[in-house]
Amino acid sequence: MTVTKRALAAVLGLATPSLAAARALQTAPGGLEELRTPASPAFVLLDLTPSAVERPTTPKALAASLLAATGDLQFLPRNYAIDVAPYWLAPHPTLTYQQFHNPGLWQSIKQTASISLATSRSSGTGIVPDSGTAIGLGMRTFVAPGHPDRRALDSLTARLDTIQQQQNRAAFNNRPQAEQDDLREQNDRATHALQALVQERRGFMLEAAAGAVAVYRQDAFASGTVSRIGAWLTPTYRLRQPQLDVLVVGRFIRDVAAARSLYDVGGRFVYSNRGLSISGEYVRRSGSSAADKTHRASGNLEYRWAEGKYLTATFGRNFDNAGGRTLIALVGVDLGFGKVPVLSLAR
Amino acid sequence: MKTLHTNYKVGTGDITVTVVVGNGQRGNTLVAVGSEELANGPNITNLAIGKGSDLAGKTLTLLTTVSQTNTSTQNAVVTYRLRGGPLDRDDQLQDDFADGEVQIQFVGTLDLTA
Repeated sequence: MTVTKRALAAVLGLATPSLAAARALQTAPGGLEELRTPASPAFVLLDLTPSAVERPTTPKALAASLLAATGDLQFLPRNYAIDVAPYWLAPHPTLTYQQFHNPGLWQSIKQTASISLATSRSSGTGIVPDSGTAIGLGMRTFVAPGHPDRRALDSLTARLDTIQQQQNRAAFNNRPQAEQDDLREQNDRATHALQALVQERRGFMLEAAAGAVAVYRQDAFASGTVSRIGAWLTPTYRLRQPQLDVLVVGRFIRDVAAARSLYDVGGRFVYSNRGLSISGEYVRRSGSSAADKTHRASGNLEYRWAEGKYLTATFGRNFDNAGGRTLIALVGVDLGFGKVPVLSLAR
Repeated sequence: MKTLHTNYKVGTGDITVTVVVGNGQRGNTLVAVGSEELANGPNITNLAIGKGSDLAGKTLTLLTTVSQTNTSTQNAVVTYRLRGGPLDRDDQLQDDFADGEVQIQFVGTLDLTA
């Protein structure tokens, strides 16, 4: 068990009094991180943060989850959240390692697509004004997925090839079990290293998502109306040397009931070098009325002087709001207590 | 370990073997006839293993180690394709990586008959 404690040294201005906001990669509420393409658009449009999300990876598991949630298809599921990658529900015998790592446009869209579905009773969301059920459906994908460090990928792949070939030979020649176990361990290490490497994408990435929420008042099917729709587009370019991220976000949200639309367009850069991270962001917001026109701009500096220990500073202007408090001014120290186990019990 | 034991009728012409590791996973395959290793690598495509008349009565072993380099799926699938006999033959082996495991061995044993 780990416990995270953070110490706030000083807070100047209270526009966004969140310590997490003082992180270069976790901008203040309303910032770009909140506007980025969400992993599960259905949950965001429903204003939900489900505590449990079903993530079935086989058709059998998907069917079991849906049947359990609907009482064998007898009723609409209540407070249910599911996230599925449909492409991976079936095997793809001809999809080779090379094709997976160098996908074309259509292959990339297919292999990274996920569908999110969530339902919520009126008590769980502000979307349903009276008793009823809200259903959110969304989809997200990478049109351009970026790529891992190609040199490291080739090197690790060659290493794994060598180990697998040794394993094949050891099994074919019935070598001693200890020798085969040793090779298994080497394979485990190389495979885990490859898995981690593949997660670290770089180059150009284009992430897209869209979703909609339907509301059924009094749980009457005939009363169903589309309540909210949204779409996101996040192009990102990530360099390793120098360590630089540049991203642009575009978001559209339409609240049908309130006849209100919001458009957010913004950009952000993050430059990192030897524990120092400098970032800046700007978001322009427009909408159905003149009151919706506003912007947000902020700069952030973060210095990591030891593992888990950060000094951070953020200054800028937040979106206009009813309270008129638009100043963002934060200085913080994150001492990262508890990043190491507080107590360890050995058997 | 997932295994397959079957037979393949050969003629007199060249017999070739192709192995495809699917689902974007990484795999290497050892190909052997009897106790003789013919190949061991990631790309086994139309590998000529000999003339049918010489192969009849022998055993073809295809041993593939697959690692879960693609974590989007828990599944591994290997296709063995034999060509050159009176009939083409495709065999598919599938298995899920067990919890905490990231590798699976597939073994195809094919008795080559006249």
